[in-house]
Amino acid sequence: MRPTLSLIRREFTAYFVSPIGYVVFAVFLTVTGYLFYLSLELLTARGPRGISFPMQLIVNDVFWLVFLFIPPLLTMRLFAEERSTGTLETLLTTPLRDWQIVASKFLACLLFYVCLWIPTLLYLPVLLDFDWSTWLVGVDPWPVLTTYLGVFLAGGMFLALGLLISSLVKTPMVAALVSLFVSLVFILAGFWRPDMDTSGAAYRVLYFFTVPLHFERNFSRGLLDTRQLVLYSSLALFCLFLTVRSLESRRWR
Amino acid sequence: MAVKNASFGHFLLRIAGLTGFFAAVVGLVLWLSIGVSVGMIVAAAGGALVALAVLLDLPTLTHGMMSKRGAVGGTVVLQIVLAVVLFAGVNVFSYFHYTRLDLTRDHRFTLDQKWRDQLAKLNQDTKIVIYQRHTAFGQSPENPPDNYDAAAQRQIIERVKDLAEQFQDLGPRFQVEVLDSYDDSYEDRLNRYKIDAPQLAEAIEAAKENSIFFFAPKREPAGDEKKSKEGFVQIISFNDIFQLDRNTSRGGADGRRNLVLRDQGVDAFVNKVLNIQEKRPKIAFAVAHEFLGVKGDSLLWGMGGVKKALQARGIEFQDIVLKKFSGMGPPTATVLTHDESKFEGLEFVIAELESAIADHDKTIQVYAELDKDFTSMSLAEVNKKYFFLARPGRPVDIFSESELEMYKKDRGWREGKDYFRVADLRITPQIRTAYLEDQVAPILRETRQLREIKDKKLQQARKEIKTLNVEQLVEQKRISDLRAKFNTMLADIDLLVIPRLTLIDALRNPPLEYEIHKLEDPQVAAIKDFIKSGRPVLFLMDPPFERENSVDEKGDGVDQMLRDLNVEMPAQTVLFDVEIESLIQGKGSGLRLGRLAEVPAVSLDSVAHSTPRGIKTIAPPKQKQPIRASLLVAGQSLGKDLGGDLRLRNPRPVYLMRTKLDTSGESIGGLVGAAMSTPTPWNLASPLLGRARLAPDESAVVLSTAQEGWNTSKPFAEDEIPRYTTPQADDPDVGSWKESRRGPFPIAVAFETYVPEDWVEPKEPIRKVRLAVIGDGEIFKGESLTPMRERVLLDTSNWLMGRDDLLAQEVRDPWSFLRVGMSDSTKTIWAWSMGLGLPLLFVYLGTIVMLKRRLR
Repeated sequence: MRPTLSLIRREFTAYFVSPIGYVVFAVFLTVTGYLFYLSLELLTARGPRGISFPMQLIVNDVFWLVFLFIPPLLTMRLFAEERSTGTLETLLTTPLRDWQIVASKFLACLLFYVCLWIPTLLYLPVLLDFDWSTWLVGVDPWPVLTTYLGVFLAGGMFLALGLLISSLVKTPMVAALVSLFVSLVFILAGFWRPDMDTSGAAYRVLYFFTVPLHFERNFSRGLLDTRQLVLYSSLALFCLFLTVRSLESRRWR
Repeated sequence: MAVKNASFGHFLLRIAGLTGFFAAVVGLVLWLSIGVSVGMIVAAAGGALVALAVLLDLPTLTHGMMSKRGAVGGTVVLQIVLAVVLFAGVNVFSYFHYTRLDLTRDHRFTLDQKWRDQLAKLNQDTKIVIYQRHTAFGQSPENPPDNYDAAAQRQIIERVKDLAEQFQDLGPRFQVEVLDSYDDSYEDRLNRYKIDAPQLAEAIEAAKENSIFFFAPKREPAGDEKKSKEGFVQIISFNDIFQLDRNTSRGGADGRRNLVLRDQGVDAFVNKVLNIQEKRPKIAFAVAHEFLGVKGDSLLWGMGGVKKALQARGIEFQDIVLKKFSGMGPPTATVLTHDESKFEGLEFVIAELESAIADHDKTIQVYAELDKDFTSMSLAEVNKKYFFLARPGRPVDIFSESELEMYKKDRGWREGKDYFRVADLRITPQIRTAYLEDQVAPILRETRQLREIKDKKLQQARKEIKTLNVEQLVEQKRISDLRAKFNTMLADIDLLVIPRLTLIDALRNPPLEYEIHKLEDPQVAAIKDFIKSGRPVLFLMDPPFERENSVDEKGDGVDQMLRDLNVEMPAQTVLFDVEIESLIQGKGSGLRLGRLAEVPAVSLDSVAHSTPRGIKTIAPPKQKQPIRASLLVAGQSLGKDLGGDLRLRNPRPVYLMRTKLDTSGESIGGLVGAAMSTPTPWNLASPLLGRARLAPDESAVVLSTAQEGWNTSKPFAEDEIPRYTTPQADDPDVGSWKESRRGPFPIAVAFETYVPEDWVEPKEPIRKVRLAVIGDGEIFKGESLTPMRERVLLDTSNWLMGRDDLLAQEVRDPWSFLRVGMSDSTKTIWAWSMGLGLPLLFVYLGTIVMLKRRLR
């Protein structure tokens, strides 16, 4: 267990000793900060402008456009860099099993991803209309909680996907590009809005795997749909399994 | 070399397999999604190529698997395949078996269990079309939608999408489409509906405002797989789901503007889906003349606005004409449909035109012959054939023998009395020329022109009559039993409307005589039969003014019927102070009739109505009459700019009298016996409880006038300007309904009551019935209705027909956008600190880390 924890610590701290972690933080918080500003404008607007679910705006199309780049940036170096620098062989010779290596890297990455979201908790007093005198919130908190749960699970899915791709290619740049391309599949349909024939097979299939739509219709409004929970969790597990197998393949190929 | 060849062959084989795979995918997409039949062939060919490649590659694969490395790799491949199957299986299962957990505080995305249960049983495919016409209720080109309407529209669409999603959780039977009239593809999509669902397209085209349409195709008999294009259409307005409260939105009590919507709940929406196969409601308008009806062509007297309003809501309607006007005699009782009445009218017109044309033909024939003779014959021959004829009081004229014979025969001319031959006068060449130029030519020209005009009219009338189902109309005309015919026509009617218009601005116009509206006993009996069957009636009653501005207090059977139902309607109208002021000012400035003043708006708030001295109303109810409550919400929603106020000129006071326990112990009259005419359970019980009497029931009042007016039976300003004077104590009218008094007056009531006992046969059931009486015969007159008049029509009709779910509800906690109270400076701090401060913090930290790394 200790080697695993050590690996997690090593991978996690690596983000903070390289500028890339801070760049990701700055970009991420700039975008969410801008979306928070838009939410704030609507929450204090006059006239027929406004918002019913503040988190809906925080995780809107603009957010996903930027989010698309974050998991590849976080995962590109995890295996590809080790492979390109030749340290992967060293890592594979440590007394750690393949799955432990994969899990450690994934957890470290996920932990950093969670850290990305922690500063956004500062938005909540405004988004929830928090009353400092009574410690009560004026806005339903559940949509906020479900949104955070959603971004955690969706993040896990995208990170697992990036990890898998990183394990398959030799250079971090290629890993990032391929990861970006594959992630697009889950996001692109969010920007293309078909006519709302919600019974159409095309819409239903698109809706099934389009993450921005899940957030627009469900998570940001306090709804949890088991289809999305299953998709995110199962795809993350599936990718981690394939990553383990990918590492394993080096032994018998 | 052999190895190279083998590798190259292997490469080609795999390329072929890959190509086959892509071909199969493309073929399947073409075949299943686009419906191109070639796709099936491509898919099959691709599949075959894949199978062939796998088959040929099998020895290589088997060889690889048999080796030690291959065995390990094979196990891994197997694991991966199993993982893929597991992953796909789990997701396919979750796709079909899912749950949506609604964690919102108010469970706003969860349908009530009672609706879920009912919708789950529904196995009919339903198409829901959200039609954005970009016109909300009450809007017109003069009052275009503003940013509040646009925002409300977006919210309503969201709401409907949510509802549709909740429906779809119950199964894939609900198909939702958004049709936007501003969209480039609007025409194409509408044309597609015209082909696939013509009834739906027709309803969409008739819609005047943003609406939602529900369409369910009719089911074909078993074995017939062809999908029917016919189906059931139900319509609901956006307004029935959300009412925009314009007044509050534009700055309520706290002066903060927001979008305020009154959520009307999902009941109306869900009911439309559940009852999609329900017959569309049908309203009949029993009118004295076809001009007064809904289908009438008269812009002045007809109810064209009602027609448009009902068509837009998918409500069917028909006119029943109860009077026949022929020639100069008094009208006679009849029962005709609009088509029958039109048919009779056209028959009459055709007969008249044919007769006139025949007369013209005769004139043309006579003068043409004369013209021919005068131009072709010698003067002697002319004088032989023609002669001068003198007629009393007329100039001497030229006649021929045949012409004279015709007049003698047709008009009974007699020599010596009607005409005299003037033997002394002879036709000279000058007379002949002058006669041809001054008499014959103009007469021929004019008569031919007239004949041509009348012939055109005749052709038009014949064309119109061809559009009617003449055979059926002739058959219907044979039914002479008015009651039976009226009953037959009312058989499929859900609501009967009886409009009686007499007053159109009484200060300036004489009344339309009440006499024309009066019905014969068989007609009244049929209306009673209709009520006895438990079906509702809406009476639109102007005061019964007659010729010379007299009043017929007694009225006809319909008036008696209303008295039986305890509806008290004094033969009066209400004049408003402002009308008199305007009239006086106009006369002062030389205008004989003055300017038409805008009368005060009808009151929908709770008011204490004016009653004669000694008559006290039953205590005001805690809850408003549902129509009144709905109109109040609609008025607030529209605001004054969009005609959210209802102004009625010359309304008639209407009181619903109900029994009330006399707690004072005084006997004022109207005791139990009178009250017992309506055998309600309350009436039946009241003798046991104590002394009862009739009193005006405030709970039934739908509309009330403003206070600034008074009641009068002499509203005409022909001799002198009507004025209000306080009655003296010795005035005989004091204490009676005739008593002159100031407003407010109730001018419309709607109530549910039992059919009077003496209307029904001993073994006949006594049914409950909903009735409404509006003291204004012209409320729905005109080519278009103001938004509030339309609302009165729809709300009253819906309530009477038991469609209470379509009435607007007063909502205590309306929906609005979230707002956070914050000063501008606080807002600025938050915006800058979160938008810029936080990112800069991490830029700062990142820079430190970089600097530290360089230090190393």
